[in-house]
Amino acid sequence: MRPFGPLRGGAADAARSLVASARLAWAIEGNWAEPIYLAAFLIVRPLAFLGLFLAVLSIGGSLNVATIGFVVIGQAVFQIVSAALEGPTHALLDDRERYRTIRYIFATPSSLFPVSIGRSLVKASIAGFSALIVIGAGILLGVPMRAGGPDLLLVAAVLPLGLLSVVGLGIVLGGLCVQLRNDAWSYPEAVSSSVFLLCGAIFPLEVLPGPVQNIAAALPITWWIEGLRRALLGTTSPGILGTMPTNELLLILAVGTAVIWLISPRLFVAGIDRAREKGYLDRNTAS
Amino acid sequence: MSGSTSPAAVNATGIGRVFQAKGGPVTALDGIDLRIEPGELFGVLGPNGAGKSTLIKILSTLLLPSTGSASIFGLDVVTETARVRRIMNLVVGGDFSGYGLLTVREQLAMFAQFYGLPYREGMAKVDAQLASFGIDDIRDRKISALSTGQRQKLNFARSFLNDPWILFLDEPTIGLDVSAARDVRDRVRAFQAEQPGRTVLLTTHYMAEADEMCDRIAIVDYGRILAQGTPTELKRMVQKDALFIVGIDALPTAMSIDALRALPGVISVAARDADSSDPSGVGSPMLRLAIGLKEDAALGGVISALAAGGAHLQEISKSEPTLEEVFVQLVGRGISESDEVSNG
Repeated sequence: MRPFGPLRGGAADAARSLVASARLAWAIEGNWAEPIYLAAFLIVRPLAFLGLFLAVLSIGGSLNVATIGFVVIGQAVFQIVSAALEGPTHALLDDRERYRTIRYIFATPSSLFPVSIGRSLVKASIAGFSALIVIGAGILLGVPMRAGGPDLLLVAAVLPLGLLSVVGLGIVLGGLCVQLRNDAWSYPEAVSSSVFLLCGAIFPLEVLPGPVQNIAAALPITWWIEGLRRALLGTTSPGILGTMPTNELLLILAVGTAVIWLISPRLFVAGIDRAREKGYLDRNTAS
Repeated sequence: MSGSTSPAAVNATGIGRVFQAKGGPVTALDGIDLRIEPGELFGVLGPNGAGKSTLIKILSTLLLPSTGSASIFGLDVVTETARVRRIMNLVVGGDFSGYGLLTVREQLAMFAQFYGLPYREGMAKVDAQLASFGIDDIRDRKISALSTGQRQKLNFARSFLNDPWILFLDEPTIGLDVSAARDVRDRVRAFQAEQPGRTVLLTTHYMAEADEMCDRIAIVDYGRILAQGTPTELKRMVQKDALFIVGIDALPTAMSIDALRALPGVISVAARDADSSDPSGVGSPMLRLAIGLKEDAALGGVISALAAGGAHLQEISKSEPTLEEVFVQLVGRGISESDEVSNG
């Protein structure tokens, strides 16, 4: 029936696309004219925010090694959270508006799904460097780390689950924002900032109004941060976060991540399908 | 390839597309019916805003139609997108797409992965395409440093990586200089010649390009196909009969124009001009006769009659209308005027 050649196929396509897009993301993220500027961005920016929060705590008279430790881990994790949340949207909008390649990628057998994940994972990994810088700063500030070193088993359980959960949420944002104009570039940042306030990164959940506390408790990111605090500091957070047994914390994180991944690919595909239907995929709103 | 057993390369029925705009719905395509056979180089000719790019976007799975259906080699462009994307590729002219920070080879390698090619096979194809397009010498150059022509060659090289059965070319030579445009056209022809059945759908508003390259052409305007056929068939729509210009030194004294008109197969004869600029350069006067014939074969009788009367033949040429004339007749305006209307 067919004029020539077999129709290629195979489950490895998605993995190839993911790796190829990760390589691209590495080239893009590392494309600073001078490496010193990239390093400064990865170091100075997170440390400046950390300094800001500590200054606020100091003014409030609640600065001690326990609160510094609380804020340091929250701030460190959030470097990764914001990068993963913003990654897919930035990748899709950049490809559409700046590089103008989205039509060519979309017209390949590869789905935009693994392509967006690959870009997001690299962004999050680079942000991991900033996270380490923040934790290092905490150690220099005298934050007592867990006796005997980090609980690597807990880190190994919590870190991938948390990362998966934020990448999943980032994918949903990407599918939504590709339907919008170029200025949607900053929308994930707004979401990321909101999540930052909700998930117990810089203050205990008890500070939040009651109903909002329930939202915060439903976010896997909240338990990701708490899990890492336990793994790295060896202590629990004050309030309801601290009362949760670690195995239950892991269960909540796992279930939350599973729910996100049950929903997020469908929402992403629905968003891309709508963009295709409306003609938003192959347009340029920047010029 | 057997036409009876193979599905059409493109089979579109009643394709329509309406965009919702602030000022109200805009109809970009209005009931397009199209059938392109495997191996054809099919042109879609029309002014800006005629719906050419929208048609290509729908056929290349970038956009959904509002109405109608279309298939590529029997695969539905709405429901079988993954399979369609394995057998087609797309090049859009005039865009500056590409990751400026990647090198030429890196970008092609990335797309080879997106096309699902195993790494070694992909890199072999990348290197083959670099050589084929004569851009091997810039393989390690960053895309941001490429000229427009080099970028478009890179774009074409990318489009050949997956050995597409059908290639969609949307104004592929726009913005290219004469030499680069010729290279691109040559490469497209070579692409088709390498493998029987490879199909190309080309949109353009360059009349000469369409005339030179396409087996068949559809002329579109305001989202509708106004006419389609081979370039010759389209020209026949404007000029039904064969028209020859025959240059002779003088009309034989024993022969009149009316006598020529009476010859078998001759429809019309008119003396166009008489001048001294005959192609032999000897300065003798030349009479040009515009002779309309029912078919080309009737020309032999005319030439024989003129020669028998003692006329010396100095020039014969066949006069054909241009696609521009066809376009003007069908659309009611020239393509440049149409572009002004669309842009204005």
